[in-house]
Parts: sequence; C-alpha cells; structure tokens
Amino acid sequence: MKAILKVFFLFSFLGLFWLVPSWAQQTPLTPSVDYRDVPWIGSRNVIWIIAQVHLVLGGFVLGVPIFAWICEIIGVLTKDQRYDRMAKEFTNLLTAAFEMTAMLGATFLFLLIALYPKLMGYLADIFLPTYYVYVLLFIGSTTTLYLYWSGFESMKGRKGVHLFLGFLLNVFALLIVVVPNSWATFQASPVVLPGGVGVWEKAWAAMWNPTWWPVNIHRLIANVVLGGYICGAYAGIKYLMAQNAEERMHYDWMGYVGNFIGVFGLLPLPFAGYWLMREIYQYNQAMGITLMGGFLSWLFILQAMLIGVLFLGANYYFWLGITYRIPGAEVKYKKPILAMLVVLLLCLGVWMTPHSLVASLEEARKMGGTHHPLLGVFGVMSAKMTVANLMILVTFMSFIMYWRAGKVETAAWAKLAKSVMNALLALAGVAVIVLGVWGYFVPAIVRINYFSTSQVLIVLFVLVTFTPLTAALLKSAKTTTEMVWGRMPARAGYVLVLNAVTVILLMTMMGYARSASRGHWHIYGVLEDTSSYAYSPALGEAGFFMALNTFVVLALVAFIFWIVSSRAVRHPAFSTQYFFLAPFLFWAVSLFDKPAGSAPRVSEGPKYFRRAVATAFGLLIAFTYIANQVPQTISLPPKKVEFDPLQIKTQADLAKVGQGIFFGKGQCALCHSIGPSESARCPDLKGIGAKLTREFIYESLTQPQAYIYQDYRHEGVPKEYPARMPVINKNPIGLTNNEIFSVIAFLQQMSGEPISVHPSEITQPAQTAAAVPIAHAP
Amino acid sequence: MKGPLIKPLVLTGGVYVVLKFVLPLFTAPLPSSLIFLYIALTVTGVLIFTTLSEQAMEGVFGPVFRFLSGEGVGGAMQTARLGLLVLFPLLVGWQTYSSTVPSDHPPAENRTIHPAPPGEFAGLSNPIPNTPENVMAGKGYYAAYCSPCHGAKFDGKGPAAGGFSPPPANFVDPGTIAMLQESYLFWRIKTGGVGLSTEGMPWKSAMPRWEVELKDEQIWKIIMGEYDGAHQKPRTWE
Repeated sequence: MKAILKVFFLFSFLGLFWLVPSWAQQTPLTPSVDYRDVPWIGSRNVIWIIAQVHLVLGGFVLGVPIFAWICEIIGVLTKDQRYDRMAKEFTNLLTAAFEMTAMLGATFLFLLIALYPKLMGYLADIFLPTYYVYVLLFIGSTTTLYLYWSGFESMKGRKGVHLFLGFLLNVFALLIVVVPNSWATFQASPVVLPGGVGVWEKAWAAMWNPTWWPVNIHRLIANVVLGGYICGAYAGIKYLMAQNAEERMHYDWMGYVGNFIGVFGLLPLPFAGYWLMREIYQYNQAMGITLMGGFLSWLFILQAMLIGVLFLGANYYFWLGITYRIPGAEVKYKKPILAMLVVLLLCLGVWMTPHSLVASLEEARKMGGTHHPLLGVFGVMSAKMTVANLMILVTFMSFIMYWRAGKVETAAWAKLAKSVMNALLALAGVAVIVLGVWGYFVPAIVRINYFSTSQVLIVLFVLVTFTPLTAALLKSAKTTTEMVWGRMPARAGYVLVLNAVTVILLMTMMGYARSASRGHWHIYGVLEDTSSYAYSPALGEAGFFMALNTFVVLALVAFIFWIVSSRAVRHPAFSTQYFFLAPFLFWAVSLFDKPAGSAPRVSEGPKYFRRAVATAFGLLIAFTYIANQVPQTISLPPKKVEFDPLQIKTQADLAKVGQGIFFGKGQCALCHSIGPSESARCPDLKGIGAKLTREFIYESLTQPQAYIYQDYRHEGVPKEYPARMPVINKNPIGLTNNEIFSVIAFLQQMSGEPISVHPSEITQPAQTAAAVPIAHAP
Repeated sequence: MKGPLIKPLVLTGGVYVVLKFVLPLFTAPLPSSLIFLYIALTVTGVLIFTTLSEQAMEGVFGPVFRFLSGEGVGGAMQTARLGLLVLFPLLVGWQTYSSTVPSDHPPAENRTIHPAPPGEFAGLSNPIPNTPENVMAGKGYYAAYCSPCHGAKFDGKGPAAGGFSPPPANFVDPGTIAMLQESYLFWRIKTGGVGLSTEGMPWKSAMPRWEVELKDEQIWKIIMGEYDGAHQKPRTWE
C-alpha cells in the first residue's frame, strides 16, 4: 500500500504540470515570441514524433485495460483460468507503460509550450477549466490502475469488487481520451464561441465541436484493436521464443485471443471512420475534399494497402489455425479458404485502385486522362464502401468457419439453421453488391444517407444474428477433432507481429491525416500557422516520419515488455518510477559475473526475435518506399497579400484589395456568405453595401455588439445567429483602418453601389497622424 | 520444375497477360502502376495459399530452394542455375540504370482531380431558380461556350477535345460532377485552369477563365443545364 501512495503522489505531482499553461494564462503576459525552433530537426518534426509516440502509447495504455477487463470477465464467465492469467499478465505491463506515456506526455507539453507559445496561449484561454478536470481524471485513473493491478492477488475472493475497479479504471481511461480529444478536434473543427460567458460555458461550447464524438468513438475502437494486436504480437514473439510445450500452448492460445479481439474491433472501425469523414465533409467541404480527393487523398490509398495487409493477415492467421490446430481439417477447408482468399483479393484490388491513377504522359494519353474508362469506376466511394463491407463479411465468415471447425452439430434444427445462415449470407452479399452498383445511379446524398448505411446495417445484421446462432449450434455440438494448441508454424508468430506493426502504422498515418487536414492552420480558419513549417510535406517525407514513429513506439513497447518480463521488476521498487533504471543496474551487476564464465545459452529464441524484428522493419521499409514512389508534391500555404497603400490608385484597386482581405486575413467568409447559404452561421452579406452606409458598416465591424441583426430566415420569432461577431480591429483578426476601408469598398462594389471610400483616405506610410476613422460625408 | 509450382506461375503469368494484352482489346490499356498493383496482389494471394500447410509449402518452395542452392541439381539444370545467378544481378543493375538514366519521357504524375475550393466559393448555393426556362437557357449557353470541348452529349468528346491533355471532363461519368456541389462547378467555370488552388500542384488545365466573358448568372444557368443534360444530380448534404 505504501508503494501505491508514493506513486499516487508522484502522479499528482506530474499532473500539476498540466496547470502550467494556466499559470501562463493567469499572468497576462503575452508571449514574447510566437514560435521557437529546434535546430537541425525542426520544431514541427520534434512535435510530430513526440506527439505521435505519446498518443499511440496512450492508446496502448488505454486499450490494454479494456482488453484485460474483457478477458477477466470472460474468465469469470467461462471459469477458464487462462483468461484470468492473461488479464493479469497484461495488467502487469500497465504500470510501466503508464509511466512511459506520462513522461512522454510531459515532454510533449513542455515542448509545445516552448515551441508553440502562441497556439498554447490561445488554447489555454479557451480550455483552461478542462485542464483541471484532466488532472483530476489523471489522478483517478492512476489510483484505480494501481488498485486494479495490485488487486489481482489481494481481491482474489472478491472478483465483483475487482471487476468494478476495472470498470472504473476504464471509465477514467475513456474520459482521459475524451478530454484531450476535444482540444485536438477543436483545432480541426472549431466552433464559434459565444462571448461574455463564463470560462466553463466557453470550454464546454468549444468541446462540443462537430468532430469530437466521431473521433472519440473511432479512437476508443482503435484502442481496443491496438490492445488486441499488441497482445497478439507479444504472444507471437513469446510463442516463437518458448522453451517448452506448456509455454507454447499458452502463447499460441494467447495469440489466438489477441487476434480475435483485434479482428472484432476491426470490423466496426470502417463504419466509425465513415461517420467521422462525413462529419468533416459537413463541417467544411474544403477540408473533406483535401482529405479524400485533394492533397491528402494518396494517404487513403496507402491506408487501403495497410488495411489490406491487416485483413489478409487476420484471415491468414485464422486459416493457419484451422490447418494446424485442427488435425485433418486441411483438406476439408481448402476450397472454402481458396474462395474466401479470392474474394478478399478481388475486393482489395478494387479498394486499392485510385481514383486518379499514376500514369506516364503516354499512358495517360491512351486512357484519355488519368482516369481509366473502365477501372475508373472503382475509384469512387460507392465501390470502396461495397468492398469494405464484403471484406468484413469474409473475415467474419473466416472466424465462423474456424469456430465450427472440428465439431459436428447434433441439434435437430442444425440443418435448418445452417441452410438459413447460408441463404442469409448469400442474400447479404448480393444485397451489398446491388446497393453498391445502384449507388452509381442515384444522387450522392441518397447513396450516403440510405445506401451506404443500409450496407452497414446488412453486415451488422449478419454479425449479430450469426454469432448467437453459431454459439447455440455449437453448445450441443460434438467435438470430433480436439483443437491442439502449440502446433502453429513460426510464420503464424510473424503474422501476429506484422499485424501489430500495421495497426500502429495505420494509427500514425491517420493521426497525420487528421493533423494535416488543417493545412496551414493551427486552429482551422481561426489561428493561422505563420511559422516556416506551415506547409504540408510530400508523402515520401511524411511516410518516413510515420515509419519512424511506428518504430519508436514498437521499440518502447518491446522495452516495456522486456523489463516487465525480466527478473528486474520482481523487486517492488522497480514497479514504480525507477523501472527505467532496472535493466541498467542488472546489466552493471552482471558485469562482475561474467569472468566466472557461464555456459553460452543454447536457444533458438534470439534468432526468432531477430526475424520478428526483421519482419517489422521489412514492412516499415516497404511502406516508406511505396510512399516515396508516388509522385511527390508538397502543399504550400497561400501567399500572403500585404497591404501596400502605394499600390492603390483607384477605387477599384481598393475594392480588389478588400476582396482579398474579406476572404483572407479578415476571415469574414468563415461565417458570412454572399448570397443565401445553408451553412451560414451569421447574416448573409449579399447587397449589404447598398443597404448600409459606410459609417454603419464601420461601426458593425468595430463595435459589433452595438446593434445586432437577428435571424429572420425562418418562421416564428426571429432568433440570434449562433455566431458572435468579433471586434475586427482588435486581436485575433486585427485589421487596420486602411484594411477596413478597403473591405467597405469591396462590400459596396459587390452590391453594385458606387464606392464612397476614396484612395486619398488611405493612410500613407509617411503620414503619422492618426486617420480620422469616419469621414462625415455631407 | 513440375507439380505444384506450375499452377502459381501459370496463374501469375495469366493475370499479367490478361491485364497487359487482353484487356486493351476491349478498353484503354492500363497504366503500369495499376498492373504492378494487381500482380502484387496475385503474388500475395499465391504466397498466402501455398503457405497454409507444410505440404503445399514444400511443393512450391522446395523445388525453388533446391534449385537455388544447387542441392541435387545437375546437368542442364545446373547450367540454368548458374545462368540465373549471373543474370539476376545484371537484371537488377539494368533496372537501377534504366530508372536513373536521363530520358526524354516526362515522369509519371499524380494529378489531384478535385482540389479543395477556396473559401470564397465553398458554401455558395445556386441563386437561380431551377425552372425549365432557366435550364433551357443554361443548355443554350452550354451549347455555345462549353460543347466545343465538353461535347454536345456532355461526355467530354466535343470536336475540340482531341487537342487537350488531360482531356475535357466527362460529365456523364459518375466520378465527376455527380460527386461535387454546384458551388464547386461555379468555381471551376468562373476562374478556369489558372484559378486552381496551389494545393496539389502541378496543374494542367486548359479550362478558360469564364468570368471574363460570362456573368455569374449565366454560369449558374450553365451548371443547371449541365446536370440536367448529363442526367446527374449535384451533391448535397441535406
């Protein structure tokens, strides 16, 4: 218990660091610089590496408790001791992994404060109260984690209490993801914050941004997948290095469970991703297009390749299980396996076919563009959704086949049930394809709202009907061939490693996509990135960083596993913050043992470990290579338009500059539309220059609360627009008088009104006298 | 070189022949990047299927390993083996050479078909009511200004289309205007090729900047005429 207290205080102390930005906020000192740089590697890249490694390890720390808790429940329900043992084995990892993640988090935070003071100041201003909540959550999570971990022994007789602790731990862990997600999603999809409300209301409004919950759900599911696959990889390596039959059996079984949980998390993941993408499109069409059709669209082709590796890997593992664990099953299942493999590969072929192809000039001429007349149809969403659903169906059937292998159903209704299931499966497959093909001939909105959702529902329906039905069938089934554990070939272990690497690589890739979709904005459309790193790198460079980050995460996870499974942590002191020292201490001590001369250990283990590492490296290198093979383009931020009074000769010049400011620096178009718009968050400005005098417009810009125009677009009582107009000549927008004049000129010109601002009113640089803001025209 | 090894080789070769030589008989030839992708998938499938059990693996990889290691290989096979061991490095060397040697072929490019529109265009909606008269007027403008390139049948095959690479967009294709909102088309027509965003360069588009010649109202009508003529519906969100 003493150790728990120590750790508790340590983490409470660590948690205090989260208050640092709030101190910075309370002292109203504006930071002296907007950015600081790190020599050689660059501040953006440092943040990129640390943030991603921290987040993926965070996913691991939050995924493992879910995984362990599910295993413990299964253990209680099935009375199978192996599950309990595995849950404990994984909870053992948590203390070390938690420390590692917290340290990285603190490093990440310090780096952000040091390198991006402008952004952090802005965020702290909005999210200050959530920082307090986060600290409390952190303490809660730490406490329950240590109680849950230590309770495996001490609460043996009180499983209910222990499970409840596990539940609490997962609730805290979930909230720990949810709160920072609101900061990150606010950066991508900021909402307009009401002024004049309390700090709590402001933070609450900022948290409820459109992509917050889609990202939360997506992350939660992805964390389960990560937990499952890391468990699988761990089991895979342990299996390869196992010394005896008992170990082989245990780790073979553990690999199976890890793969199983990973696959079941994987199945709903595309649906969550689809929902997220839809929200992004609805929030901002330009951002959606950048991701799916524009600059970042190649990421999704690479994503398709990696998901292909994952689906093939998961199925391959199931199929290997059938052939090796169930003696004699090979011949029986050869044909169905071949059929499933062919369907999977065809689906992957469709999924990986890009919308616009990489082609040489000559090839493009022959095709008539970068769009193939026949295969181009595979490039659109309807085809991708269809094959994704089919692949999920096939993978699910692989699992069902594995589940039923070696057993003969004895129930009287078995025949009927099986034919119903077969018919249902065929029907579902056909329905998904029909909807997919039909999707080409209906308006996009019908396809998105009805067809795609129907496809998803059909597949989910198959999942939820087949699982209990098969379970019921197998309850009374006679086992003809007993499953034999520990006979899997070495390649099964490598596949498990490969899948874990792929999942981590996918997470680093999608993390990049989410971050890069903001373009040159820290906070989309609100706070611009004005550093020299505002551009988005070419895919090859980005791919290198993704592979590097994946490698660092793998190395750290392997390090944690190694420490926990080595003798070192048996000593209680090493289960806390000193655990990093353990291996070095033991190494130092072992130096003195060496001269005594120990017999060289004869073991195949290191050989297999090296091969597993080579597998991981192989995938990362192949990925980086492919990312570099795609034609490389970088995305530069748009050119800044400087207001140069000397260039303004006529009123038309003034209006032209004003137009640039309206859509650029002034950020007017972020909320206002010119002409009616569905997504307008404030009044339509069409014809505004004719309706209002220049004095009125000037006042609306500089004292926006003086007179508020309400929303009369709908029936009933007019209500206020959701957005609150900022003061335009103050920060963060801070237009000068010259710029405001030019915007007024643009608004008048746009409304067909003679421009009443004259170039002579523009303050020339030489003139130091303050401009008279409003010329009282007679 | 017999038994189980033959099937995968024939399969991979067959897929290649179909993609490279048979498919072009019916449609445009595939770019080599796509053929490479499909062959890679085929090989992956072969590897997965042949490594499912020891027997299958031995059947396929056994002869290969024995041939390469020279174990129990004699006579003509031994000569073939030595030949392969000499030729393979040469092949790799040639591949490296040919991919780095300067050539007059332009590099393959990756054109972003639908870059994100600038802020001033996203979120606009068509102010012109969708009446038969307006659609007809739009089709009239289309016939006058657009059809020389985009074709009278809206299929991108106008009389002047042959002169452009990349060719004019085919509006009948479900991958073009059916995927986009009207505001997007308004941007593309109004500012033309020169108005494309810096995102996803390089740009190659001969689309004229119609804002010089047409009024906004005409452009909106053309958009309505285009959708109607191509039997497509603009993308909407609600």
